[in-house]
Amino acid sequence: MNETEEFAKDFDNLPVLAEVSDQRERARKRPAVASVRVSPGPYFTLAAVLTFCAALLLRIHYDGSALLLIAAAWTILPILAFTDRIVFDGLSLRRQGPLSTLLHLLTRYRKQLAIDDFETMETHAVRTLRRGGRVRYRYRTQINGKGKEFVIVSGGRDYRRLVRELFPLIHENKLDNRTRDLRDYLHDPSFLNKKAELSHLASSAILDVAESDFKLGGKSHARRDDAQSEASAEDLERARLLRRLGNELRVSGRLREAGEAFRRALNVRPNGAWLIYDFARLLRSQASAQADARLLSRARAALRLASIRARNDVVLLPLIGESFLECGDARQARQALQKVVEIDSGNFKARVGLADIALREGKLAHVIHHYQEAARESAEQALARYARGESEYYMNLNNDDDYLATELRRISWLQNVTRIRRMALRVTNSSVFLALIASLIDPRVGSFAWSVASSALFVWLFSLLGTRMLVGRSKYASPASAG
Amino acid sequence: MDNLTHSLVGLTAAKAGLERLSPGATALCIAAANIPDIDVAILLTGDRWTYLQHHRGITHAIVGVVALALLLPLIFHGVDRLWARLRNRPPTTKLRGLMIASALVTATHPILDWTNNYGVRFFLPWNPKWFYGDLVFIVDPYMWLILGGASCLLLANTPAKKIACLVCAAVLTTIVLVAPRRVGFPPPFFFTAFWIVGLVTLIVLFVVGAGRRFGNKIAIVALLLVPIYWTFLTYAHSRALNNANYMASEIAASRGETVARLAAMPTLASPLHWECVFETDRATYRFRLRLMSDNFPDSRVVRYEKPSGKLAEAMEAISGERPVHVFLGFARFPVARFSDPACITQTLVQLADLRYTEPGSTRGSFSLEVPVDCPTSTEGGR
Repeated sequence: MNETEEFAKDFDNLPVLAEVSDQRERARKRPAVASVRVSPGPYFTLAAVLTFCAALLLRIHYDGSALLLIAAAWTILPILAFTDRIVFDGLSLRRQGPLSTLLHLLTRYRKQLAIDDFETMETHAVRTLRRGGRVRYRYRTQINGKGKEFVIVSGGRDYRRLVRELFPLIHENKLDNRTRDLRDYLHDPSFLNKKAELSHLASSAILDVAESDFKLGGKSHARRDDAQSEASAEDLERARLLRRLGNELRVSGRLREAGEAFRRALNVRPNGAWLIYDFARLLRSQASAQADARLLSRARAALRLASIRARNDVVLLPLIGESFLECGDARQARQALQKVVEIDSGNFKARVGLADIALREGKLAHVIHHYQEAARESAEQALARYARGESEYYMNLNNDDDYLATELRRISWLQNVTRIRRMALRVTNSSVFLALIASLIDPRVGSFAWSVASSALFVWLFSLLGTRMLVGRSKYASPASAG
Repeated sequence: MDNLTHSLVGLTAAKAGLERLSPGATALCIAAANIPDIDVAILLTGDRWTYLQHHRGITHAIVGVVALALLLPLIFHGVDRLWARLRNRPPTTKLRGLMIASALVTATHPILDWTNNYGVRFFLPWNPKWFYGDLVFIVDPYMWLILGGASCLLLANTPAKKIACLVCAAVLTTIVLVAPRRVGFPPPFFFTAFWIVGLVTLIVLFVVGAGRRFGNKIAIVALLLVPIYWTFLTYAHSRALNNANYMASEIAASRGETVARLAAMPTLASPLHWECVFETDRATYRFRLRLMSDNFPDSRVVRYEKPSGKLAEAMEAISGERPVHVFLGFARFPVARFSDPACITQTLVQLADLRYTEPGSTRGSFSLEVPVDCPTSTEGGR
């Protein structure tokens, strides 16, 4: 194609580009349906680093600069942290705030992602506090699509509103198990309190001291198997409501009460596959909160029972497979997912799950096959794009030894740098602590500790930069194009 | 230490095994062994006082060494990648290997420098305190012989390298044996003998093919010999300190003074001779002592009274000037006097660091002369 033709083509595209630009501008002006503050962690980390630098400046008698730096660190940064938000306007998610505006003015770049372009949504629960049977969770939801990434770390009212408004609009196959849980079961604490009260559940204070001898699938349940067939419609509805309540309590971190709700539900309906699956997830949460390996094995056992009871349920089985993977049982996960694929060969979640397992086993050809199948069968554009992207990536790894070596090297470096970063952070913190104490006793030891802290901080910053550089996949240059 | 010693340490460390960590590791080791001396770049923007202020400063401190040890391999690797891209070939260096080599070798620099009487400020920027090892003279031909000899044995495997080693040996021999005689400072007999025996031993080892036979063990042994040599010097230093303390107490008592602090510092190529400087409540003294001899100073005792009266006033007046401020921050045993106490209009305040020189003599940044108005009466001085 010559230059004139290219220009003509570009010229033809101009109205389209203008329309896209208009759309973006309109999207920017749309009112926010829900918004959540961006995690202030990085801002406070930066403020802490700047404070350290200010202390250093103070030490070398640059008092004015130190004052200026510390003032900037603790006025500008908190303001930026407070105003930096992720906004959902009903159609797209965007970053909003002074920093984002500044970035837009400087680079014309605005971080925005339409919900149709979401490819994956993954949520991790970060346990912040544990008291008895109650755990306080903070959630970290990571949204990826079109090479962009939004990370929302929260657990508060704004987050719950965002979950309510945004999550139901997202395609089921884009959500992981926990995101799905949040979508279905996350409620305001006051609402949940009322619901628990109406269900006459014992309070967590009582449950904490009560002995729990409840065993899933025990003899007592076997005896009740026959009774279940005789359970009235009212009982079944009660079991459904209790299951829902149990999930809501689990998601809110009220694990002991959730256990009680599930116990009651299982007494009514001991063979419900969904109920057993949800109970298994509760056991998994408890195992994680109490760092109890026995509970984790019980969770696995419950999942096995759920997979038996699920029979040919192609909605539940992929979820069970995913939960097996969370529990570290790849063999059972494969069995569950394989069963789904046998029934419904185009099941996206099952294909992606099987690709994940194949990757753990180092079977690149299987990974490619599963992603290709997922891409072929998926009617949803973003999901197909995601699966295609993954299959291409693994295909490149499979076909090009140099690229595979490059990626392995990158991953190995990423692991090393992450390890170094963690260690550097620990050394920094302990050295600062030591320096503060030692300075009072022996200035020389104090100075040594400050020096170590500075060095470790430098290493930490350096490794942070390294992590950022290494976290993205290497660009693939095909041998043909390279030649 | 001088950069030849640092380079030899880097080269020997590379030959001891670090060169296997990555292609290009030998060059990196030599660069890493010298990288803290990058502070010399300050001369591009500042004067000699700026250099004095920053030399053996942050680049020799723990923080600086860590930073440099991380940056250098990255630069090396980056340049290699760029070069590889330009030449259309895969990069050869291994970043992990370079990192390890750099970390190990860069750390040797401040340690080697600490062994001198010049000192190092390890805890900058948190604490500007100088730390002095007082063990090894800033230029140490024994270390040249040990490390240089090992490097030559391992390196000289081609005619060109053999010639290069011979040239280096000839140049160094001229520097340490011939040149000092020309300027009237003949090296000690023991050292001359040691150097010649060392050279002969090296030639014999070379002829019998020790480099090929023992490989990197030679480099390891050479590197081990350095701390053994330091241990010997530590012993000699402690003996020197004991003797110096005794002599200083005698000298101070004869004038009714008490010793406040004392240092015994090494001299060129002679572990038996130590330069001693001590400070009393009223003056600073310098003398030279010889170990394994009678408890008498080996040279005349130099004495400078601490500034008092008009000299103290003049010092106070000039203390705000940048060169004086920098000099006093550096000097370990600063002394001062008027150049011409009987002047009419102006005179000079002559400052010197008694470690290296005396007021009035011009020796780089170790002495300083500052013009002041003539005092009405003067005190202080020799």
